[in-house]
Amino acid sequence: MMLSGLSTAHKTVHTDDRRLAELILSIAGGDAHSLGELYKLTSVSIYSFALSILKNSHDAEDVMHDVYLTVSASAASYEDRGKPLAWMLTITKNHCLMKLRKRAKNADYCPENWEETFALSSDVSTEDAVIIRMCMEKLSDEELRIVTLHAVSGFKHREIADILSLPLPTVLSKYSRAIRKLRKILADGGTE
Amino acid sequence: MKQTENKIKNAFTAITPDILETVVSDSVSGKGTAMLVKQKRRLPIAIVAAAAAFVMLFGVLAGVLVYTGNNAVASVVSIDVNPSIEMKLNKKDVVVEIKALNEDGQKILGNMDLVGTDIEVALNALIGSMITNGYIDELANSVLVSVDNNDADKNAALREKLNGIIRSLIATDTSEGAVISLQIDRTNTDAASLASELNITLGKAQLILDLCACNTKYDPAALAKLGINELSLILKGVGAEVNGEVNGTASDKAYIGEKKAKAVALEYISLSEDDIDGIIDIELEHDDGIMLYEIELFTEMNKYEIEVNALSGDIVSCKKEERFYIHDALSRKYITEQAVRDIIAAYCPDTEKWAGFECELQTDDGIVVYEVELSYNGIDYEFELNAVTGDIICVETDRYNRDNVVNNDTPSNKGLIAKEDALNKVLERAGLGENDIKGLTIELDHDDNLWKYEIEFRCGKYEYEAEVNADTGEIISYERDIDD
Repeated sequence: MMLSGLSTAHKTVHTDDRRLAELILSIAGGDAHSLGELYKLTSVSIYSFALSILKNSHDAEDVMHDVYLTVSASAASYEDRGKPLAWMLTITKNHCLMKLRKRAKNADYCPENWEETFALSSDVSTEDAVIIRMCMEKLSDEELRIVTLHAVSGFKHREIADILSLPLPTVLSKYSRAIRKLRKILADGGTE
Repeated sequence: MKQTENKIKNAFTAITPDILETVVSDSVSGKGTAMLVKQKRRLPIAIVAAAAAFVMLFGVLAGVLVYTGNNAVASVVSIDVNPSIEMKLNKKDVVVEIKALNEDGQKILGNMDLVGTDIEVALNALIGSMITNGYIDELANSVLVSVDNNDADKNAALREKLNGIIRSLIATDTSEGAVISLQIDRTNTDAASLASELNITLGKAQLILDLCACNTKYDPAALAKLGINELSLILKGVGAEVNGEVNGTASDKAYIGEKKAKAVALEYISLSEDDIDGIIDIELEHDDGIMLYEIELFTEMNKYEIEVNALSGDIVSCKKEERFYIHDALSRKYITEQAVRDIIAAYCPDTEKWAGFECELQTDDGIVVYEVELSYNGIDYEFELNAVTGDIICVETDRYNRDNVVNNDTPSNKGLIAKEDALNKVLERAGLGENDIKGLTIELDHDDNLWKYEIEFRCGKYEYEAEVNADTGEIISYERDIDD
């Protein structure tokens, strides 16, 4: 995984929908700089959502790469309905499902060892590594997706209900339960 | 809560890799997978330009011929089955030029000289030859006829005439066959470029683009490999609108049928109809020139996508996915919350003392479970129950507070011994009394189908840890260490 040489400047978690829509339209018009800006504004959301589905950092990175290529190739056909990030997440979900299908065919897939993943990285602090590990290991699949969409990407619970096709009360209760669970674990020093 | 969210956000931000350079360079060079949300086929500019030039040249030629007497071309008609043949007609609908557009077309045309004959005679000869050569039969009986004539009224009249002639030729006692009549749209440059790129007629290209407009997953090149009968069946399936008319019904007799396909699919995944949560979708589809039934079905836990070869009945592919996005829709399959309460009541019998009861459906390692939390007599319990069977997968209790021992109910109706009895066993083993010890914790745990109390306490410089079988009262493990 490309963890070395990470800068944090490229990672703004931000969802200004109007700006994102403008950028997608510029990409359709062939503006290469717009792809860079779109990437800066959305990469954390895309990567986190992919990671929440795939639970594997390499696969999530592959998917993120493919998502931006797809966005770039499909920008011309993008119809702005005011939800550009949700559109990108749909693309992400589709790429993830393709990845999962491939994984299902590959018998020797082994789950990621989160304790080792960031052990050698100087860019990821111990606390961040613990939080990621707790999220991956202690949250249910659905809780993880809901938590990343809200806490990382800033989606409202109602929007998350739409994205994940879940009833709003389910999203609300799962979210608060997941956060409580994490808070408790983190208060115990990440050891549960 | 905000603080935890910020920590999560920061952590995910920190681990997001920076691959912008690769993305930008690959998006310029066109590497990688980027075909998912393709809505409209975009053809290379060179091909579009060449095709546009072709169409313009063709238009000019046609225009010149219109003014040269009986040989003047009034309409261009192409016939597709799999053989493709193009005819140019004068204003009296007499063939002035005829050519085969593919190998099969050449076979059909053979040495026939149809120039100078009326279109009805020519069609009789061509369709007759197609039937003789086995291109049209009971199993495949669809014809695409496309008419290129700028006069809309004349175009419609000619289409109606050709449709009538062809239908009377292909209909048999048992099947009527299908005729798709299209009006060629000269302004459709996408169709022109596709026709030239794939070496198919303009009519077939137009039909393929109409199908692709209905389903963005369709690949024009793969559709081009199919005959008109298959395209006609797909057209019926997706309900695409065409620039013309569709009359009659294409034969699907060559295929095994939806019922058989479903049976084959179920046999392959070793399930019966009873295991299925309703057949969601079964469609006649195609993949790279092969017709197949695409069957999507759901069981309680999984979604299957199975492709069955429509001709042979062989399984082409089978994909299985966990139903993680949709399990809520199926909650009727799971035991009710009341049933969950009844099960929990076996452990915490006095339901009036329940506090903070929460019960949620969750997916955990692919199993749908109820996660239940409640406080009971000062103890926080967390139960995990299999949502289908109601089996308890795991129980956790928080640290046990000695002050609550006196009034604590025991799960006696499960036949477990009381906490006090478990503690007494350990105290007896240690040779201590209840007043000698400090820092007592007792946890009831369920592990490997075994209920046990985990007991820890200190006495003087020693720390004691013991596990007691909660069914039998037998001490499973006992340790005494010097307390650091």
